[in-house]
Amino acid sequence: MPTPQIVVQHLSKRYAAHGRGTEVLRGVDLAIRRGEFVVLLGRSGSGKSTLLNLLGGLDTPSGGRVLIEGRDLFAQSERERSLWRRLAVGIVFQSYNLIPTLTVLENLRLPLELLGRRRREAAAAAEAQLERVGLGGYGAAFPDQLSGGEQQRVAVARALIHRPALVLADEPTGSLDLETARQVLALLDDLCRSEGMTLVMATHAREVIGLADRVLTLVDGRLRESPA
Amino acid sequence: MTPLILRAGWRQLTRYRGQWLLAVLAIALGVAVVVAVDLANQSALRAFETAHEVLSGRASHQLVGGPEGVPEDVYRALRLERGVRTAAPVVEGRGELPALGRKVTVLGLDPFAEGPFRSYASLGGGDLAALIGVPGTALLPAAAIRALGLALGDRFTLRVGAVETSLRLVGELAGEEPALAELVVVDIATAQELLGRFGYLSRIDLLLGDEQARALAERLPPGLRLLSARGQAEAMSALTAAFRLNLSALSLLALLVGLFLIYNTLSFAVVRRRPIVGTLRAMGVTRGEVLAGLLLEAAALGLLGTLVGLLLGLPLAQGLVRLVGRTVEALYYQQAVTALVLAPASLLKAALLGVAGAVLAAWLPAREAAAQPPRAALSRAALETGSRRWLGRGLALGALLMLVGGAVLAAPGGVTLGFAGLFAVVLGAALWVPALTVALLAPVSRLGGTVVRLAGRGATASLSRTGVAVAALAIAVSSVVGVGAMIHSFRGSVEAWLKRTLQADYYFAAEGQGAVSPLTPALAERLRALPEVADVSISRQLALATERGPLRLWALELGPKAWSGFQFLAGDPERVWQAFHAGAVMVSEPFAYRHGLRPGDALTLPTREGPRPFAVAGVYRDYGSEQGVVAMHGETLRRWFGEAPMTGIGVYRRPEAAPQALAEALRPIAEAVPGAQLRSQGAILERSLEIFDQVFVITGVLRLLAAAVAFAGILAALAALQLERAREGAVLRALGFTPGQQAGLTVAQSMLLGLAAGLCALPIGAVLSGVLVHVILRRAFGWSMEFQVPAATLIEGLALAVVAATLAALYPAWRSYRASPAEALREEG
Repeated sequence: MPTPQIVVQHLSKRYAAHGRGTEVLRGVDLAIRRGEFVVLLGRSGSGKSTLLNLLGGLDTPSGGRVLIEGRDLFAQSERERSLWRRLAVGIVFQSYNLIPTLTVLENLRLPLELLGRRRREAAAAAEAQLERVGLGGYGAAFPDQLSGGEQQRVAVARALIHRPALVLADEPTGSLDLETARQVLALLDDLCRSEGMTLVMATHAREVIGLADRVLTLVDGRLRESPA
Repeated sequence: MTPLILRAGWRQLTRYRGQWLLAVLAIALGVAVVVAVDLANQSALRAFETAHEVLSGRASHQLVGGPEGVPEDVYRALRLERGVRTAAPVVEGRGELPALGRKVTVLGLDPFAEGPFRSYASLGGGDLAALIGVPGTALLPAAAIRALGLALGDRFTLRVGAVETSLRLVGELAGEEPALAELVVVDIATAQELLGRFGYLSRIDLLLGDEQARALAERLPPGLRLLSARGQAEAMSALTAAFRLNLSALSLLALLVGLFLIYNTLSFAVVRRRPIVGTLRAMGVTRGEVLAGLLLEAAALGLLGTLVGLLLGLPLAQGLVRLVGRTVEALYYQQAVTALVLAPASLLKAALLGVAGAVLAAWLPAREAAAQPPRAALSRAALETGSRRWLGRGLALGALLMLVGGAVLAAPGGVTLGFAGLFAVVLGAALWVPALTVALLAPVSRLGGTVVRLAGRGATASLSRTGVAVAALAIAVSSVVGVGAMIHSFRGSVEAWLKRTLQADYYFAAEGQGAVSPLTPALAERLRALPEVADVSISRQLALATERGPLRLWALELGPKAWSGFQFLAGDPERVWQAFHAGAVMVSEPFAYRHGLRPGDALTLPTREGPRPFAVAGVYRDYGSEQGVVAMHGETLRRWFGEAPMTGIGVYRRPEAAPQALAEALRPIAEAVPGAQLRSQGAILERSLEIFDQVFVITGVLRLLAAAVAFAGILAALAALQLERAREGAVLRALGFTPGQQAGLTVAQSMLLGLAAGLCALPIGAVLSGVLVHVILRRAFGWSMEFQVPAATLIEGLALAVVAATLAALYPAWRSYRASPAEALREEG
């Protein structure tokens, strides 16, 4: 059996609020293989987003470890985590989070240019990616000129444009209607599988379950495995 | 309106403590500058008034004469023959207490006649009989007695001109007015002896009704004039009116910047509240209720800022009073203004300004937020669309204001109108700044990689937040550039004038203003006879009391070498000199400007034979006095005004004589004449420029205050922006931006805004300085000058804008460096 890409050991996260702590994650253990599609289910406030933030190095844990390819993510500096994220992670948010001051094409170019790709090369890759998500010709538009579904497709395209090893999606369909949500999920699944990317998705959407390799549920800060 | 609406607002304020603290700081700084300048001005004015009260008492009129003064027989005749009982003789002059190194006014009075006029002289403790009966006795103020360590009966030294006299202290002046501290009171005879005015009085103070005054004026002996005391006091305060107006204008500039910032910070607060406003409106809260709630908050912040501003303003006023005192002394030879007068009107004005300014500044954004339909109030895009629409309106309104301001400046009028025009132009230009910022940063938004574009677009994307801060920074920097260029032009012109005027190699000057000068015709002849000397020039000065204040006559006996020292602004030099020698006068530029005189006009002067017209031969450049000077030949002065003390002798070196030889020849002569000062041309130039720089210290301080207010504003704007862009920052971090890159982006955006503000400020500053030089200084002081905008000043302005914006970005950048992306995503999600 191959070594898991991500290993989570006794991960806990506690938030201080009004002098009392709230423990959102209580000793989570998890192993994710390369190319796996893992769905995280759970009620609002159950800690799904917190777990995704920790997997992406956007937040720091109160206890436990996250090993990426055997390396402890939180033993690295903030800068090292940023550089790793730049190279190996793509994140899709519920509220799209496109940069409003950049055009659609520029939003797509940004991850590539951060990696030092030439501008022309980045622009060509961005054009191609935009075609892949069915938004060819929208490159010059600004995000607020697109519909919600279109914005989320751009967000998916941006998250995957640099072929990250790990894609984290936090409620990517939470703001979309059913039909659009289905389209976006299919797109995400298709792109990730075709490139062999690992996808961890936090969601309420039950229809995702059929697409996933594994379904995990967060209850009271602990993970339970459910049948996919 | 339910208190819950206010509570929601209050909690929002307390949640973003830094933001409301900055709003309070912006209000406080604006109020502090205005209150400090106002108090300093009031203190200067009050010092003039009390000085006048102390010297003139409650006199309604003053009887004055020619250069020698009023013959003392006139006083006797007035009381005995005309039956004017409320009359008091006065002999007045300047002296010095050498032990304290302090200049004083020597006031010779008749204590028996003083009752209705000056209470301190007749009520003073000690031996009044001795003051009248024993020559060489004096009264001193308590402070001077303490400082000199004297007891009644002790002796102290008074210096008048070159002569030192020992006086015996026989009493203390009653009263605590600061102006009293500068007085030495003696009896008439002692004063006449000290000041060399034997048989003459400086003036006779009178308490007359209108009818009596008219009757007296009709039957005055030749050479005497009856002046109204009120007119004298007004002339005295009018002397400094232009100076005070200039200070007020600078403080208003600081307030203008402050108001911009209040608007800016409060509009941030309102803008942040838009989602809440949207929700409240969706729940049925009326526009009026929303508006009232927002304005109430602004008033509360305004009140708090005002209180802090008043507390900050008082120590600032203390500092400014000292600077104003030094400037007034240097400019007007008046006594120093040292006491801070707490004028309730100034405090009230500042308080009203702070609170009303805050409400007024919040009015526009609050009304806009309240007027939005509920859905739009929730949308950020609607806000930015609105502010983009304002760009066009700003351009139109700005153009209109600039046109109106330009028309006001072009029309004839006083200094106040000049400032009104200038403010309209500056305000109009400020309205153009946001649109110009967009235009200037547009290339950055198109050039370079995505990260550079991100910086460029980020800078202009939130104009609703940054537009006003950039405008405020541009105005503050333009005032730094404008006032800097004005001072540069002024200094350059003064330096060129001094170099041209100071034709002699050495100057002898009489110390003090005694009636007996240490400089004598014999000394002049002795100097002329020296083998190293080519020629000497002689000058005498005389102050004539007129209804419009003191008029300075300058009598000159110049050799042809000195002629080139005069730069004539009107009149053919050759003809001017011919007419000058034939009895005509020349007037300085400020005098010609104030009295509307041109060559060929006649100027009526009060000679000892009564009023007489003198032909004006020419108008010459002179920055020595803002009241202006009338120059005439020494012979003309003697013929019409009598003998006047010599105040200066200029010594011209023979070309073949070594400079060192001349210096060595002059030094022993100067040392042998007590009270005479010998100064080289270079030393006078250096000292004059030192005084010039001292006068403008206060201007520099006010410029810095305006810049400080702008700095606070840009800091507030960036802090608020960073707060609002926290989510965008978190997304960038999620994409792989390092914390350093994130902080760098914040700094880069701020630097771009600073650059845009600086670039906008340069033309505004150039126009500002042109208006200051050609309109304000001309109207205030009557001076014209060479206008220059040095490249160094422009570079300094641009650097100031960029550095201020960069420094202001450091704290927000540090916060963005430390920010947790997960937290930002969680908060906003």
